[in-house]
Amino acid sequence: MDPILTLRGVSAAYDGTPALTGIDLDIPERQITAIIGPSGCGKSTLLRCMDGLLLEEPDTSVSGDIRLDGTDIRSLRREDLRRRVGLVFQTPTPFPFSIYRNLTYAPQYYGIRDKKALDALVRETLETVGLYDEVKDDLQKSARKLSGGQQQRLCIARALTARPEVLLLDEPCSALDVKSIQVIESLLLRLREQYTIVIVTHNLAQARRIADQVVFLNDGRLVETGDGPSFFAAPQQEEARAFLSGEFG
Amino acid sequence: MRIRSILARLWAWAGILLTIGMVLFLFGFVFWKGAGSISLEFVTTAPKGAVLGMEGGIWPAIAGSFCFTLTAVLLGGIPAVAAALYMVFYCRHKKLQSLIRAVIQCIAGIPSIVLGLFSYSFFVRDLGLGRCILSGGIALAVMILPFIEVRAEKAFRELPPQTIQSSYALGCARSYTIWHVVLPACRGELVSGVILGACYAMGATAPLIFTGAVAYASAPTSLLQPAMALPLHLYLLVAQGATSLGTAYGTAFVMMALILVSNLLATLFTGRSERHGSHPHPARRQRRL
Amino acid sequence: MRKWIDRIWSAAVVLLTALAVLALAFVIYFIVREALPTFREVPLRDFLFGSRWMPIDYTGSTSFGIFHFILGTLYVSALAMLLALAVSLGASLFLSCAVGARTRQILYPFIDLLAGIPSVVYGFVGLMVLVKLFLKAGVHTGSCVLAAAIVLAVMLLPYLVSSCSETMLKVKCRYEGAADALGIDRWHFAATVVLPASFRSILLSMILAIGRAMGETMAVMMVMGNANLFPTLLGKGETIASVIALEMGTAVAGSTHYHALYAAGLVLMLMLFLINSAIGLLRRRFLREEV
Repeated sequence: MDPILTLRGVSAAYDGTPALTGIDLDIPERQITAIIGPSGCGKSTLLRCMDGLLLEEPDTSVSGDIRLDGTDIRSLRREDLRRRVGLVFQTPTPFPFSIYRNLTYAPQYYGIRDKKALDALVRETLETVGLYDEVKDDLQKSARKLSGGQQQRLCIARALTARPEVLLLDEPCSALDVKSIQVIESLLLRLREQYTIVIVTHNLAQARRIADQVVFLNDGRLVETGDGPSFFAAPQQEEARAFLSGEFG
Repeated sequence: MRIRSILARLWAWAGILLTIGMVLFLFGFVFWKGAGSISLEFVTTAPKGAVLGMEGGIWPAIAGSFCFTLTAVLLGGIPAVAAALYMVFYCRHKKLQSLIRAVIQCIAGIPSIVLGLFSYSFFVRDLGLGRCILSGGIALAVMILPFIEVRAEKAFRELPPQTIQSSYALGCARSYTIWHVVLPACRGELVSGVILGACYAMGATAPLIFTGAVAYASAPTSLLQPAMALPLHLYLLVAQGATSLGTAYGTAFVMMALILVSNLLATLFTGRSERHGSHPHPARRQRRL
Repeated sequence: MRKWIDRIWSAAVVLLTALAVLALAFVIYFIVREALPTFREVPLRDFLFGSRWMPIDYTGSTSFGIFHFILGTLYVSALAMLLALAVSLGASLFLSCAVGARTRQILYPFIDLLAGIPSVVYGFVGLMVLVKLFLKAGVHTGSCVLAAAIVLAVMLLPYLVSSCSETMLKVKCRYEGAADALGIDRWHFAATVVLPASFRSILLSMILAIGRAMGETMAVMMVMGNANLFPTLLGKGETIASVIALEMGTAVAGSTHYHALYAAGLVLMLMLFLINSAIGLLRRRFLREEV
């Protein structure tokens, strides 16, 4: 399968301190890629390289070649890149408005004004994340009144309203309870049929449950990549073996 | 050891009772003394009589104060919010940012009387505008600009950065993000900041004394006319002594009532956005004296 | 289309900000420019430390010395700050240690009402109540530095209460658990932990409060008597701000008197600037020590 995102020799530094060095990585289309590694190893930094958020932060430098569908992301307009690559944060970040407004926010920006089309879109994305039945009667309710798990699913739905090709998730479950984690994991497995998903997680069991491809980072270097089952069954590198057996992390 | 805790308790109770008592006393005193002068006629007619404030009402002063305040809010509030937006969402250079902050703080430190002095020399005299609502309003605008900027900037900075980034991550431009996330989310703080700034401008006498407020004028019809203003009117009545005390109390009554209503409104607005859960504490007020 | 809207909007924000900052910078520049000519005629030393202020040439000589005004400003501000501090420390202890969040939510806006009252009203009530009291107590004419300080103290209250109680609340939240675990009485905890641990922030608030007090004009002017005298507790005094307010109208534009008023304003600004920088320095040092 062709990779949709390719990274070649990507390095990043904050304030001159290197955070990532020489990353080569292919993200296959319509699969779940899980990025794992000990805290502070550059997982989130790698994720933020992929949608260009990092390029904007002051005191940060990114070098190397990142291509989306064969196009250098630096040559894309920032807004277009962001539209094609969605991002969901660790803590749920709904806008302090109604559920409905959260979901129509991006479509309206992209010029959809028709009320019916918006309604249909809201319904469709809510159904995709399995939230529709829970909230269909009070779409005008403030999004902040939802539970943590619901908020996170709303944020995923919101990311989907921009019709991205790739969905990046930065530890989306770390602030949630077990039940919500299950719901979100099965949601991700369903989304895989339409979207390419890259997820950063510190939860190895989670990576094992959902990942098609696993990327193990340590100390800003890419140590090992492999498909999920074989990586967890038999990691090739000593560092990865030590990490999986819980010797550090 | 017991003695310490008893002393602390006494001190705490004394402090809070004195503070609350002071608020009650000031409002109570002015409302009680002023109630006698207040009538519909008082707030809708012009001063009459041989000596200022012996008879008649204070309508021109109310209208004048309103014009001064509106000018100040328009001229000071809009740039203040723009500057706050620039500081939080646009400025990428740390040095430029600290330079702007230094200028704003420096202005916040200038006593209001010196701002009046500036406006008098520059607008009234050098530019030949004369004493008018515009000259006075500009002095007030300069005075409340830092006041509003600081509040607006604080409100913007208290928004969770990831909320803003979520909007960028959806591919939305900065202007769209500001109009559709930042400003609506901070509406409560902004409105209350502007109301309190307006209050502050309305109560200020010092910047107006020689720039636009006069002892007697009819209700203003143009920005280039001088006008009466409530605080200066009160000052002049007091300066005249015993003959116009009743009117003085009445004027103070009107000002205190306006302050009370504005504060209530501001608290309501801050409180409402607080219920959205975006801010743990309402922006505390700090007025420059 | 979107792109253009974004560009126009960004340009508007930048332009408005630039305009505002340039205008503010111009105000500062203007004040300095108008103040400097004073020192061509009056040596800086005489200006700052001279105590004769004779701006108009009645007797054949003019003289511009603002020493008494500087002292008056400092005296009344420091006194007001101390008075306000005594009350607001107590009130802050109460707000941070004795009541819950709900009561605080009611009391804060209530106390903040004080900050909204126009300073003329303070002056007016001070004149009607305090000055009369002092007159009865035997002070000549009733107007005096102490009366001004009391009025000013009330004006400082809301500011000091809010900054002190915020600090104390933070300290309390940090150590409350430990104190409860040891079974320490709430007020003992307040007196022995909260108060000392808040000392540094309170010190900063105190300095800031003096700065705020120094710029106040109307209220002080109305009750302080306005006489160029060496300030004493029950005597009259005059502050820099009052001099400017009282003489601005009569000073002939371009005269030394006019420039001297600007210079007095500049001195006041510089004093405030010094205070603000001192606070910046102290705050940075405290932060460094805490890390």
